[in-house]
Amino acid sequence: METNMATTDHTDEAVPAAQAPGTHHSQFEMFWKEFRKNTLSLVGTAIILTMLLTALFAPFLAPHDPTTQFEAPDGEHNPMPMGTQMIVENDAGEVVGTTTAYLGTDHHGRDILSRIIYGLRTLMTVSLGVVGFAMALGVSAGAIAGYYRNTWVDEVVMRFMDILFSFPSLILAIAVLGVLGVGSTEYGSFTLPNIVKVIAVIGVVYIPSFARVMRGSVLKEMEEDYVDAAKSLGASDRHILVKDIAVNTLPTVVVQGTLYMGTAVLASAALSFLGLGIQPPNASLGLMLSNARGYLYSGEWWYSVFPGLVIVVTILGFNLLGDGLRDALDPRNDGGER
Amino acid sequence: MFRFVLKRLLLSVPVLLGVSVVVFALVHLAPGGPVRVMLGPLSSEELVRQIRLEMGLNRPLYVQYGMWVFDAIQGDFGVSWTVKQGTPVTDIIVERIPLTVELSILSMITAVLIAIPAGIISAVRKDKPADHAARIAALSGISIPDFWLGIILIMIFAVQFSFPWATGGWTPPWVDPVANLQQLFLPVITLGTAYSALIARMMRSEMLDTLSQDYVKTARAMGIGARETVLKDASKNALIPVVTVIGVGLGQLMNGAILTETVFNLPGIGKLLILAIDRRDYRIIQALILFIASVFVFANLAVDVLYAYLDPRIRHDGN
Amino acid sequence: MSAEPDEQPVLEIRDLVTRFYTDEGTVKAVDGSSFDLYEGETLGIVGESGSGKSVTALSMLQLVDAPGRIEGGSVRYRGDDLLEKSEAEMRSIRGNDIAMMFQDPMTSLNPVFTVGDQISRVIKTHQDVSDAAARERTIELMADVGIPEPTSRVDNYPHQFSGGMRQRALLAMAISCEPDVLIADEPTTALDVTIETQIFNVLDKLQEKYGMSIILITHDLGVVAGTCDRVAVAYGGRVVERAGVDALFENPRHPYTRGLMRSIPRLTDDTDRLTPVKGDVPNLTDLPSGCSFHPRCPHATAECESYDPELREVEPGREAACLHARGYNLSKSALETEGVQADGGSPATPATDGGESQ
Repeated sequence: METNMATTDHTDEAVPAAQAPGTHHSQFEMFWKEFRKNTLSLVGTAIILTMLLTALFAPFLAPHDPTTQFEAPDGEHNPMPMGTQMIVENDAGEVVGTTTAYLGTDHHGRDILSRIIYGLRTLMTVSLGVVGFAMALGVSAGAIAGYYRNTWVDEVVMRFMDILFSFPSLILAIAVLGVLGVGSTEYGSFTLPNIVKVIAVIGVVYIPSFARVMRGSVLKEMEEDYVDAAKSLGASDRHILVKDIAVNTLPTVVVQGTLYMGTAVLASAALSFLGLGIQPPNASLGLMLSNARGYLYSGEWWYSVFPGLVIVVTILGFNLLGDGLRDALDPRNDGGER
Repeated sequence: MFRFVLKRLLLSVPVLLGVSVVVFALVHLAPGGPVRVMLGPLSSEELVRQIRLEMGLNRPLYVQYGMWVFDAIQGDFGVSWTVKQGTPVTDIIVERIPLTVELSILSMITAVLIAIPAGIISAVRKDKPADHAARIAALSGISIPDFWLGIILIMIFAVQFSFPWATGGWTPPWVDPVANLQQLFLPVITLGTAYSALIARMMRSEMLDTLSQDYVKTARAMGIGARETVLKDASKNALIPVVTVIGVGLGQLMNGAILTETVFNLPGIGKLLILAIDRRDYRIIQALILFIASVFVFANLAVDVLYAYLDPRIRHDGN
Repeated sequence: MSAEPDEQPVLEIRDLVTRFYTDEGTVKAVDGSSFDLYEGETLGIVGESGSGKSVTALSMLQLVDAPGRIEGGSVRYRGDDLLEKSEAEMRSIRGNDIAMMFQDPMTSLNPVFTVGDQISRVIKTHQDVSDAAARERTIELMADVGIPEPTSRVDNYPHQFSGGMRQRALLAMAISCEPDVLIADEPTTALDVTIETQIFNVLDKLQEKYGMSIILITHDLGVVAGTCDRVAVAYGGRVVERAGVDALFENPRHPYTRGLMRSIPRLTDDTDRLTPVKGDVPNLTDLPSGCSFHPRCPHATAECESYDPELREVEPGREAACLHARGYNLSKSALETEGVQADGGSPATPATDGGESQ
């Protein structure tokens, strides 16, 4: 009814907040009602669920081991097109049968479908790692800066964020990997696994965004009455910081995280494409595209088309989901800011 | 306005210093330091020690940093080690700048020229077919990685239709402007698409916002035509925040430039960076990262100034 | 004073219907509104937020945006129906013959153009004058509305103006082409009381100088008492009472009007502003049956739930839409039909004069 009034009489400058401060349950129901209205959001959700499940169950879904190299049929050589009957050999090199490569094979005779499925697994792991890493550090930094607002702590943290922010995202990752070298790095007896390194170097540039969102939310929440109320009840500072603020800013951070998943997928794939990310023989979609470039002119289009399509659909899914989440949460935040 | 620019300029000094520290630390705090970076993990300890001595790398870090910054301010980044042995790093970089700058600027112009009208039309025709089409296009645009788009474009234009000029390479525009534009046609589309999509989305949402503002209603009530209110009243207000996105998108444009140059085999800054990493030429890496970050910082500064110039509320109040 | 002037009205609004088609349902924002505006007078349209006053004004100028649609009725301006006019014709009427100014001066001026540019632009839209002449006229207008130092203020941006000054600038814009009719939609709601008085003084002076007719849309009966000649009370998307201002205040006929008056002392209190009368503003998506005021009406009877009273003359020069209003003569047949329906409890179909049965 409130919304009706808003549309009917534009002079209602202050349409009162439509919902009474209700329980989290009813808030979630409202959010869901809003979210469900948008078909595209649901499509995004379906895509992401499919991708996550595929990544999770890759060993069961992939028809072949992603590193097994099959022989091309007589007189032909890899990469082979879709549906080719590939020759299977045993360890001794004897032909024991044939198998179908549904999406063709790559230049080593490996099954593209299997490599895509495993590549998706890698991509999802790295991307979730990137956003998780940036979220954990950014949210902490932002919360600290916001809580100690206008003190030297705030100043130091946020200036450092400015510096991180002044690197175009991929460039910093490329620089760090370029200097440290690709592959795992050894610090004395400690070995930093490559995947952790990749996650950290991509993730580091997203830290400032989370920190800023979090700091902003904390500043806003600190002005709300309920923080004062909690203080007057004698709750400890820590309790205020962790519980009240975190719970109330969680939706914003989650939306931000989802919106960044698309970018993280893009960056992870790009880094692999440049040969600086996941190293062979691990399956990686970006690496597949990089290799496929060598076969552009000879007409082996399937090699570059399918891995690329999977990347596109994944990013699209995250973007749809992120947009949907943001729009569904917007009425609650009574709009205004992006 | 002048005070604002000055203030903003001064604020970027600590950021740039911070950037230089990060870049310097990156190389010098890497396991084994710069020599290891250069020689790779397999070289002998003795060789490493000898070269460290020769290059003065055993002096205290802050001294080395001071010297490096001092030289860097004068544009001296030392000589290349492996990419082009003995050639000053600055020369190598400067030689590659025109291509990347041309590619970026052309992509940016193309992207803005497409995105702004698309965003406006999308907002004015909200929920009509034109809007749906524009939104789907924009959503696809931000979802397609530029390196894959480049590959697909090559496959379609160069392989399927055998366009003679879709094969990469770069002729400077002052040598042959026609060939130059032909060569950059596909790279510009590749690089411009995501950027364009980003701006179009922002423009649409800002237009929707400004179109519902009271001043638009007021203008209409005074007899100003709908078209004029869209093109003048709403657009000018919507463009102000969009300018910031154009700035934020610059980072994306630089990322994209590296990938696009790799896909199309264009000898620009991005290709040089990848090459330097491949050859472990740390001086070039250091110089390039500092260069790119500085460009990014100054571009953002320019955007802020432009923003202030466009928005009278900032222009006249000084802060 | 209370009687309607004899001459033809400048504006004649009849049975105006505007609806909004939203996801939540059809909103009957304007549901058969009728009133007249006479030469040189100030007509107050008063009602709570959500009574459809603003949409009525927007409909008159064909400024209703999607999902809203003007569905019926007529808006006669000097005899011509504005609803029949093309967009191009309307453009030359808006701002030129009929101008409208909105509630919030803080948002009604475009922040990126100077105040002077925004005023002279309206002049240049409707008149074939040079830039210099338009600027000259703009400065004059700014002086007219009481903006000090207009020659330097003309180049200021809106953010350099206070709220009251902005509203004056908007007023200058609205009168820049000396319109016949000025529609002012809650022109002082966003301003404090001293500024409100100043604005109304200026408005008064300008009305005298340019001989405009003014429609003043407001929720504030206090404002109406001080400024208007006649009043139309809006409720549930239509006009429920029309009268001269003195007659209305002396003796309100519609129970809603009485309720509004009782709430006057509280009107300064912002929080009570939205519901000066007990109960909620009706949901325009789902108006109550019969008289849409009946759920809140202290005098409501069974007939009120099913019979939808139309606006009728209750004494010369004033009209009301209430079965129980003194002087509201319902034809005998209609009342009889009414009685039958009340007994049977069947859904209401308002009887017409021609609907004699049995």
